[in-house]
Amino acid sequence: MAQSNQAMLEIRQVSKLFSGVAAVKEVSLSINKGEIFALLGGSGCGKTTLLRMLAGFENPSAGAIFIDGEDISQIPPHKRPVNMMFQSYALFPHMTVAQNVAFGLKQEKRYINKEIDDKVSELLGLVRMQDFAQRKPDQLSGGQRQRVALARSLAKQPKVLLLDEPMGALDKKLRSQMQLEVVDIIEAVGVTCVMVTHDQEEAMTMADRISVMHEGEIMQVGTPSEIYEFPNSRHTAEFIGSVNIFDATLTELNPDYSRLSSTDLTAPIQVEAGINAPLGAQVGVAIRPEKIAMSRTQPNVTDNWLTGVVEDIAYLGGHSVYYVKLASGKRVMAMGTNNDRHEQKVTWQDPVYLHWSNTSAVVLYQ
Amino acid sequence: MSWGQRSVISVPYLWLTLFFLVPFVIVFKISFSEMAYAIPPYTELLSWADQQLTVNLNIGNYFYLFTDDLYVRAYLSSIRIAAIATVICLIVAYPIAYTIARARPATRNALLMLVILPSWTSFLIRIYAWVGILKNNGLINNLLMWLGIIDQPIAMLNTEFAVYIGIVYAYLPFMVLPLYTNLMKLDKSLLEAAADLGAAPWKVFMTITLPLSKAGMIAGSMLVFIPAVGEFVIPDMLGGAETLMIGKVLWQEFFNNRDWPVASAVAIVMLLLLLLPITLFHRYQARELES
Amino acid sequence: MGNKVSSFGKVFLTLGFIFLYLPILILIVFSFNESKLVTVWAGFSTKWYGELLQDSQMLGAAWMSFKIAFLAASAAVVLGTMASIIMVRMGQFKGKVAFTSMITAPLVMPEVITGLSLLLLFVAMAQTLGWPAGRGMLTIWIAHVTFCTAFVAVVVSSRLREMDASLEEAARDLGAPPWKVFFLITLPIIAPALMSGWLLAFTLSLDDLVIASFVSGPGSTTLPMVVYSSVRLGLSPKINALATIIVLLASTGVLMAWWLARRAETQSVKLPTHH
Repeated sequence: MAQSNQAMLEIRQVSKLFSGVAAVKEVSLSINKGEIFALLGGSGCGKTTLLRMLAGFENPSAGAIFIDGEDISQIPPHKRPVNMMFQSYALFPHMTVAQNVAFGLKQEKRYINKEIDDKVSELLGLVRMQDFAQRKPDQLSGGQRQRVALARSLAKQPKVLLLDEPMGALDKKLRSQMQLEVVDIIEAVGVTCVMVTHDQEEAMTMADRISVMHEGEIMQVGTPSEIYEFPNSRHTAEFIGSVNIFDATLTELNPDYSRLSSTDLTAPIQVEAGINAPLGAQVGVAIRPEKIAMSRTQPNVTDNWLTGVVEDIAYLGGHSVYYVKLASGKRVMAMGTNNDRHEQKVTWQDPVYLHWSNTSAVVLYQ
Repeated sequence: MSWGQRSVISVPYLWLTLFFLVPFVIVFKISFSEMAYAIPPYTELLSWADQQLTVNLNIGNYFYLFTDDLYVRAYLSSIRIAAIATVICLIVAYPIAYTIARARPATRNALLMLVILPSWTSFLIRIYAWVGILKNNGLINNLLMWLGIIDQPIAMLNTEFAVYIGIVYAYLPFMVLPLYTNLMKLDKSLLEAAADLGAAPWKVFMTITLPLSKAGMIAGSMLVFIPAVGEFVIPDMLGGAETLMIGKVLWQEFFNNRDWPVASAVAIVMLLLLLLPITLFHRYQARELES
Repeated sequence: MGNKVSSFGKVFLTLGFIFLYLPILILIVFSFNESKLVTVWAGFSTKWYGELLQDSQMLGAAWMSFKIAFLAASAAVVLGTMASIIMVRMGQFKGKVAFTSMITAPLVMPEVITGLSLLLLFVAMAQTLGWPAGRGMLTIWIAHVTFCTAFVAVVVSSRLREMDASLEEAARDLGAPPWKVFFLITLPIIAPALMSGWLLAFTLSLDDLVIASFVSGPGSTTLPMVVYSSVRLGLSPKINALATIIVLLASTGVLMAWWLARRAETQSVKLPTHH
C-alpha cells in the first residue's frame, strides 16, 4: 500500500445543517495520501452529505476542508481538484465512452486534442475498456459502465477520488469481483480515495481505514480489524458484524485483568488488562459469536461461561449460528463450523455450555 | 445565490410579473372607473384640479352587475354548464384513461397519441364541425329524417345541449391526460394485493383505484371546469342567443358596448369566483412541477 | 382484471375515438363537396381548395399567424425552459410560491380574462410609456409568449424531473462551469421535450382566437380571426377545405414528432434505470 503519513485531505470541525437540522455534526478527519478511506454508516447517517461537501455540491455550515494544505471550502465544484464516481455512474447518455472519459480533460484549456486522445486510450486501457471506446453508455453492462465511470473520474488526476456507493448499482455476484478490481486500479494510480458505503463488507474489503458514522457524528475511525475487534461503542459493535452484548457491572479491577458481573450470567466475565472505569461502573461487554465455543459438557473454568438451551439454529452452509436461550431469557449467538458432515450435531432444545477466552470480550463504555 | 442564478430567475420572473400579474391589477383598477367617450374609453381614478387630488372610485359597475339580473344569471348558468360538462367529461374520460393505462406499452403510446391528436388541429374548426352536424338541416337531423325516425328536425344547435357537446368534445383530452398520468403511477401490486386478499374486481376498483386516482380527477376537472366557465367560442357558435355564459357577456360588453369598466368588473368577479378552483388546481400542479 | 373489463374498455375506447374523429372526418369529406351546402352531398369537387388559394385575405392572415406562432413558440421555449430550471433545479427561494402560481395559473385562466387584462395593460403602457405604440403583431406576440410559456414549462419541467440530476453534478465535478453544464449536458438530454414544447406552443398560438381578438390592432388579423368572422356569416365549404389542410399538416407534424420521439425512446430503453 503506497501510503505515507502525510495528510492529503483534512476535514476540520465540519457541520452541515439542513433547515436547522444537523446532518453532519462537527466532523474532523485526516486522510493520508494514497489511502483508501471509507465512510460507513446506515442511511441518513450523514456520510453522503459529507462526501457531497468534499465534492462541493453542498457548502459546510461550519468548519473547513483542506486538500493538500489548501482550504477548498468555498471553491465551487468545477474548480476543485477532486473527482467523483457517482452511485448511478452518471455517464452522459448522449456521448460515447471515449467522449465521456475525455469530458473532464476538455474542460481544461491546456490540452491539445492529440494529448486528450492519448490520455483517453491510456485510461481505457487501465480499466480494460479500449474495445468499447465508441460505444454509448446504454450499450454497456453494469460492470463495464462502472469501469468507464472510474476511468472518467481518474482522467483529471484528481488529488482526491470520491466514490459514492461504488458497488450500489451492481448485483451481488459482480460486486465482490469489482471490489478487488477497483482497489487494484486505485492503488495502481496511487490516488487518495474517499468512499461512502452502507455495506460493511464492501468497506472492509476495499478500505485501508474505515470511519463509522451515526447520526451525523463519527463513532470510530480505524483499520477494518481494529473496528471489528475493538469496537468502542455499542453502535459500532452492532453495526459491524453480529455481536452479543451483556450489560455488566465492574466488580474487580487489577492491572492485568478485571472481572465484571452480569445479571444474565451466573459466572463472572473476565477480561485481560485493566478497565478505564471505577469499580461499580455500568458498562457493556461485547463478544463476537465466532469467539464463543460450544460444548455439551460444562467447561472446566470458573469465569467466562454460561449455559442455556438451543432455541434456534441458522444453517448457513460453511457454518451455523446457534441461538442459545439463557435462564434470564436473553438469547446468545454462538457460531459453529460445519467441518464434519456426519458429526453428532447439537439440535433444538439441547442444553449446551458456551465459553470464551479472556481475550475475547471487549468492554464498551458507551 | 449566485449572479448567474439570479439572472436566470429574473428573466421569466419579470416577464410573467409584467405580462401576467400587473394586467390583473390594471383590470382591477379600471373596474372602478367610469365609461367615457374618449381614448381610452374610461375615466381616470385620480384627478388633480384646484390643488386637490380627487380619487374617483366608482363602485357603480359592481352595483350594476348585481342589480341587472342578466349578469347574475350569466354567472350562475356558466358555473352550472361548466360543472355539468365537467362531470360528463369525467365520466367519459375515466374509462378511456383507464383502458389506455391498462393496455400493452406499445399500444398505450399509440392510443394516447390518438386521444391528443385532435387537439393539435384548430379548436375553432373542431367546434365549427359540430355546427354542420347539429343544425336543423344538419347531418343528424337529415339522417334521422331519412331513416323516418322523425319527421320534424330536432332543435339541437343553439341549445345548452350543443354547448355540452362542444365542451366535452374540446376538453376531453385535458381530462384524459392527467387521469392517465395518475393511473399509470398507480402501483399495480396494490391491485394484485387487494385481489389476493379476496376483493372482487369491481371492489378493487372502488376501494383502491378510484380513491388513489383522486388527484388526477381533481386536476382534470379543474383543467376543464375553469376555462369552461369563461368559454366564449363554444357558447357563441353552438349555444345561440338563448345560452347565457359569462365569457360571451364579457366579450359583448367589451366589443359591442365598448364598456371597458363593466367588462373589467365582470372579469374581476369571474376571477373571484374561480379563485377557489384555481387554488385547488395550483396546489396539485405545484406538487407535480416541484416534487 | 378479467376479460369483461377489457372488452368493456375496448368498446368504450372505440366509441370515444368515433366521437373524437367523426366530426373531423365529416369536415374533410364535405370539403370535397360540389355544392355550397355543407351538409348535402352533391358530387366530388376540389373547387373550394382553388377558391381558398385565391383568397388573399385568408392567405395573408395565415402567413401572419405562422409568423407570430413561430416567434412566440421560440420565445416561449426559452422562457419556459428557464422557468422549468427555476422550479426543478433551484430549490427554495423567496418568491417561489408566487412564481409557480404565475406558471400554473395561465394554464387554466379563461381566455377572455387573459385577453382583456393584457389589452388593458397595453393601453395603459402606451398611455404612460408610449410603448407599445400601436397594437398588432408585437402585442399578439407578447400575449402568446406569456401563456405559451406556462405550457412549455409544464412539458419541459416534467422531463427535467425525470433526468438524473447526478449527470449535471458529474459534469460540474469534471470541471464544467454551470453555463457549460447546461449547454453540454442538460440541453442535449432534454432536447426532445423542448421540441414538443415548441410544437405545443406553436399550435396554441396558431389556434388562438380570443386573446388575439383583444390585443390585435388594425392590420394584424390572424387566421382564427378571419375564420371566425367568416363562420359567423354561415357555413362555407372553403372553411372545410382550410380545415382539411390544417388537419393534414397538424397530423403529419405530430405523427412525425411522435415517431421521432418513439425512435429516440427505443434507442435509450437500455439506459440505466437505477438511481
